[in-house]
Amino acid sequence: MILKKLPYFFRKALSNIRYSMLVNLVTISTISVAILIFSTFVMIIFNLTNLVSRFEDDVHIVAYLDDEFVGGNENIKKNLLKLNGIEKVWYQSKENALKVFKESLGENDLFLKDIQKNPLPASFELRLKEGYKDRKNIEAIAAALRSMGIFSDVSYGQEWLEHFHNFMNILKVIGLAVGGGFLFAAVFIISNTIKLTIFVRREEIDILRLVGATNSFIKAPFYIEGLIQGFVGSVISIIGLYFLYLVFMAKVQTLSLLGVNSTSMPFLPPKFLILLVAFGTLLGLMGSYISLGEIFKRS
Amino acid sequence: MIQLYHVYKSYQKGANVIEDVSLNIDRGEFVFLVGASGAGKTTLLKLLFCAEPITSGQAMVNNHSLAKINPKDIPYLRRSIGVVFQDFKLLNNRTIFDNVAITLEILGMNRNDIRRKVTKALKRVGLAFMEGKYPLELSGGEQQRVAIARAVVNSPSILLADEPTGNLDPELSVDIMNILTDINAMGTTVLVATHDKFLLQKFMKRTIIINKGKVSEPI
Repeated sequence: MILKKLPYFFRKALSNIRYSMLVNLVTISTISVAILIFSTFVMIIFNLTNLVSRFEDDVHIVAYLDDEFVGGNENIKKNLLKLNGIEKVWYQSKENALKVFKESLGENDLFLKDIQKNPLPASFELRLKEGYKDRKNIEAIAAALRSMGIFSDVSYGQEWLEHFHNFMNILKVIGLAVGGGFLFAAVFIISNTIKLTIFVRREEIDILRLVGATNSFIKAPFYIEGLIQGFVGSVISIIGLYFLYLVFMAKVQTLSLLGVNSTSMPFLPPKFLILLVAFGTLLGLMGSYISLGEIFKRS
Repeated sequence: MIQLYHVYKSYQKGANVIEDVSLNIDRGEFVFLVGASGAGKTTLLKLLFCAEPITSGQAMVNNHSLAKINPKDIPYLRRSIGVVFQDFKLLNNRTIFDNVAITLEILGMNRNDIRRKVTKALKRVGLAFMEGKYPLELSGGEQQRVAIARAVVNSPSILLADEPTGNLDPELSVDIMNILTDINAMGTTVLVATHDKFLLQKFMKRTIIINKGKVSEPI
């Protein structure tokens, strides 16, 4: 029965929107702004998470050999490979380290001429297997290396990644709080605008009741109106988000910051976009659900 | 069809608008409900289509007990009762066609059937070529006829008309009454609230008098 009436409800919802265009435009813009702010946070968090996981992929350990240690490098390499979680090991001799350092200095290497003795240690660079790149495993491996007693220092770039993780967590909380706040405000505004449209059409609702319309028959077009508002609002916000993204990327690329490009900082994938639209549509439905519940309870 | 037994209606304790009303209207009858303004005609009609709940007593309308009716069943009772309101209750921003079609849309009827039935109902009240107009473009008598078309378009078993000739001149009033008697002739039970004595004399029908909420019938 409901399915049979669905085309009528849609026609009715569309004509309702046409009759109260201004109120509907306000609602749709509110949803757009709320979803735009929320999805901007989603996109920032999405890209930063990608960045972190890329950095995590690059994580490696460098163990600097004690200058006083005398022994075969191949043996050490073999022993290192026996450790849990080590995928590959490279050896860098003292001479090679100095050469690389000189190259990195370029023309500024004058001060190195006064140095009599090569101060750089020989080192082993260890690449880790998948599943061993988290802080706990890295620290375990570092501890194992230190306990070998032949390394003067063991370093890994994990510490700043931890800071980054903390930063991300704070960002997620802020994103949820601000985005959530706006979404809450959106539901509030939607429910109020729907109340307004119901008020404008109260005479019609009275007449519908008197000629035998059930409550669900009267409510259905308002639900669909909410759904349409939510859908249109969130689609507009995604178009807006894409526009903001293009502007941002153009700015970043002209400044050639951090080598950022559309591959390293992609737009939200379709799965996220669909979820955002579904979420916005649900938001519209919720707005009308709340106001209809209140109004019908009162009458 | 309509049976009332010691029905009372009051909005304030001790002030009865309808007092101890008992009456019986059979299927297919045409009945006038007559009384001065404020006598309780409109209230009595409102009780019959559940626009107001009865305060006490028993009432049966189309096999629904009004004292015990579940709020969910009220829309279904109303679908079997056509009501012509004193103030027409037409939607001014909808065409005449749309105003009449409302009753059928509620039933989930398909658009072709709605078109056919609405056209037929408008033809019956003499407004066949007015369907694209809006209520405010019509005269009072024409608006009244639209209200009648809306009330009868789904062939209800009961038609309640509250002062259907209230603001019309005598000629138009007779027109409207002729439409109502035609509808009655098709089998619909008709109850007309009026204070127009001219109509009572012209259309010799059963008359129920209501005065200060109490009913009586002249013998």
